[in-house]
Amino acid sequence: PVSVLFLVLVCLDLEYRVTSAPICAHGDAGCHLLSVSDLFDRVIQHSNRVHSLSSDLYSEFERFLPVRNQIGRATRKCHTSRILTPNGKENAQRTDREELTQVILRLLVSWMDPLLQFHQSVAHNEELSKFSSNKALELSDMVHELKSGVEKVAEKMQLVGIISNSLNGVFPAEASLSSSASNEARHIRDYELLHCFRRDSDKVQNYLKILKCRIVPELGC
Amino acid sequence: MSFLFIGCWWFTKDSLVSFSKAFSSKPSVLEKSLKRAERMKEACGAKCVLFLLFVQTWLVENTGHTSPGKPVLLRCRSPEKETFACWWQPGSDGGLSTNYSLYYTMEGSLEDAVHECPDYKTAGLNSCYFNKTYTSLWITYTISVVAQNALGSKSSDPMFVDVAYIVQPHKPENISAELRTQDQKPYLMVKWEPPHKADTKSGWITLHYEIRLKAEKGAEWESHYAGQQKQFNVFSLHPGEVYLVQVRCKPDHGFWSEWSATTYIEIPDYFRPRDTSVWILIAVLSVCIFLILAWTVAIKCNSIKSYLLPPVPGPKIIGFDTQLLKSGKSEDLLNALGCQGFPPTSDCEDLLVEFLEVDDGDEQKLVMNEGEDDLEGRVKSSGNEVDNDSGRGSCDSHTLLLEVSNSSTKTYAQVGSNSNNKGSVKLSRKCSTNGKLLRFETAGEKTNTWPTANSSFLLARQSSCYNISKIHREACSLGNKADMHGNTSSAHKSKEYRELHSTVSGDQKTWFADEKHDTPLLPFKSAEYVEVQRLNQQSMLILKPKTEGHKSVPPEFIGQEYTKVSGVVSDRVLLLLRDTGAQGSSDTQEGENQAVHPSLQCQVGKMVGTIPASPALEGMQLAASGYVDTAALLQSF
Repeated sequence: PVSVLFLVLVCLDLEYRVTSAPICAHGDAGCHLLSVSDLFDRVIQHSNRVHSLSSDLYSEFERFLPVRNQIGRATRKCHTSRILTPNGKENAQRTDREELTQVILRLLVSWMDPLLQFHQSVAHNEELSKFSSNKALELSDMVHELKSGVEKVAEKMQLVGIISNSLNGVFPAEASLSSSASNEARHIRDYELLHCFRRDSDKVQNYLKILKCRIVPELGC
Repeated sequence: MSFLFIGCWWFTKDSLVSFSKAFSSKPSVLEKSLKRAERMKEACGAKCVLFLLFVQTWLVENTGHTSPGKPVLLRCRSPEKETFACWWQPGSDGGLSTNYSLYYTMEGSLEDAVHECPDYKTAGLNSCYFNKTYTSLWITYTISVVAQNALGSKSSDPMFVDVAYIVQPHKPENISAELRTQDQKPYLMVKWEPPHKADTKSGWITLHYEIRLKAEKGAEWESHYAGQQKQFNVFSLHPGEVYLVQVRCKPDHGFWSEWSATTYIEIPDYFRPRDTSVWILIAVLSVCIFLILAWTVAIKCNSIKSYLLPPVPGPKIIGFDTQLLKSGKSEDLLNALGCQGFPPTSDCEDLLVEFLEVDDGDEQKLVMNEGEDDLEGRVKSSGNEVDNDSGRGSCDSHTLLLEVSNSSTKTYAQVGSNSNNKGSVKLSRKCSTNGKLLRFETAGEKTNTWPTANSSFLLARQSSCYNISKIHREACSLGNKADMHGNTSSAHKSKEYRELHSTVSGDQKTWFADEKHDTPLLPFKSAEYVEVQRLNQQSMLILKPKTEGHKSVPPEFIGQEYTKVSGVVSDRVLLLLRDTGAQGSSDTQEGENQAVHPSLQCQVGKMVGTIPASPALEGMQLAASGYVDTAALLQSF
């Protein structure tokens, strides 16, 4: 689906650059705003799916967790906690678009590798059902797509001029790749990973919605 | 006393400290503190413990106070994802005034920083309210409540809270229900607004809505999911009722709000007239249809009457229809006469049922029925009385049926006919395939001689009729039996005789038609009449000879009841044997047993077929095929 968007974007971009004939009568700005809105809707749908997948997996892991670990769950820090994220509405609204977009991208990029490893870990875990393995794979893929989609949105916004071109390179947070020996330790590690990711996906979804309603507030806000 | 208090306080403080260290730190710290308490206890020794226990029990006995029970954290909720509040339930207070305090730590901040609840009041009793300053999203709070009284304190189990996942919004507001019509159908357009505190405009919260409605008198609510839109159209409405409408909302991942305040709306009845107009139309149409039907009925009154109430037919002779006679359909006549099963059905294809009718006078006309094959002649009899009392043995039937079944040759039996135009009978009977035909031709009245060989006579009384079907069946069965016997005895080809026995129950004379192998035939000079009286259960055909009177009956003829049919001559004449000295009954019995060589003892004598009172020939022995050809029915005697 995002690939289709890709094509659309590319075509639009080409037309924008090569010819001066406007695509729609309202003028280029209006047209681009419309497409930005569509792009936003698309990525928000993606993020919704990502979050629901992560919630499902989190619940499944919670079920299989050894009882004694219920005390003080998820006490370990997430590897993305170094990324400064607004933790309230006012904070988020005070953050400007570029920074917000940057935060989103950083989060997504930081999770790409750990999710791959997570999928591999789940695939080898016999306790979990086949659905879990499939979900983990889908999760990993969707995060990739989401990241691409957000990048496209960012590019579009930059093109249109919604955000400035001050997007620096995205530096992902390095994840500490700890390989555990025992199944149980691995299980706990995956559980905590899911806990962190579930939260981060909620952040991403929230930030995207804020961005959308800030940029194109007329539709669905 | 003070010492007691000091001791207690020291312990509680210790426990408090250890507790505060416990929940804010990792499990190992908790274990450490527990170990510390243990060590302390050990340091005290058993003495201190005992002492404390003493004190406690003494206190309880005296004052009834204990340390407080364990409080329980009920829930924490955030209405708009910006603030949140927690509620707990206190345990027993132990009789003393108990303080409740809520402590929390936040993940990510300094691990050991324990904070106390900033606001105990705003959210009500036994609650803690965190305003925006104290609320941070996507951070895990560890919250617990401590109950404390003079004697001790108790802390609840900790609760882990992430504010982003405990959102339960307020109810939707400003619900309006408006009645609209679309294509003459009413529908309800319900509109609402999100709770004013939930910030959906900035995209901070996304709410989904659900609407439910119910008729005032209805029992159950009807729910509809409305998604993220703020209006909904409801179509399934009953006019004339008052509806209750409620809306609630839910964030992406969170809890449903409570149902909003009920909105009442009434659906007016103005759609009823439309229904009545439909009913009026239906009534008018039905009236028109009724009128048309009445008119049709009035016009066709007579024909309908005759159709529905057919005219009562006039009196009818039982079993005999003159119309049928005139039409000449044998089947109908015989069916009317109650002779069923005639003509023979397919299972007795070899058989041909014929009947012999002899009538007594000119007025009688009999119709010969031939069944499947062609008739040799027809005689019509106009009888006043037709009796189909076949099988009863009375002699007042006009028809005579002789059914013979055979499987080998065709023979004819000829019965001599009366020359004086009295009732004579000519019977001809043909078998279709391999049967034999017996044709009886009535000779002259006075003839006493039998025709030449292979002819036999049948005398029919004017008033005897046989149950054709019965005879037929019995002949068939007999034929089958004969076939069987023929097969078994391997004399299939040579088997020519068949026994037909019939007895008249309770009647005077019986005829027996029988067949015998190669019985020499006596020449007969005259044709005589044979009346077949009935067919008994053993498939015996009883023939009763008709004699003119007793005068010419040879003496040996009288008293004997059987006539032996010796054979059939030239397929046309049935020869009846004159047999002397034979007793009928014994032979019949023999015959029954054998079923192949029945012997009919009969005496061939003069056969005069006019007067019913003539002594009957004892039996008739049918030659070979035993068929009676009823091709021609002669005039009555």
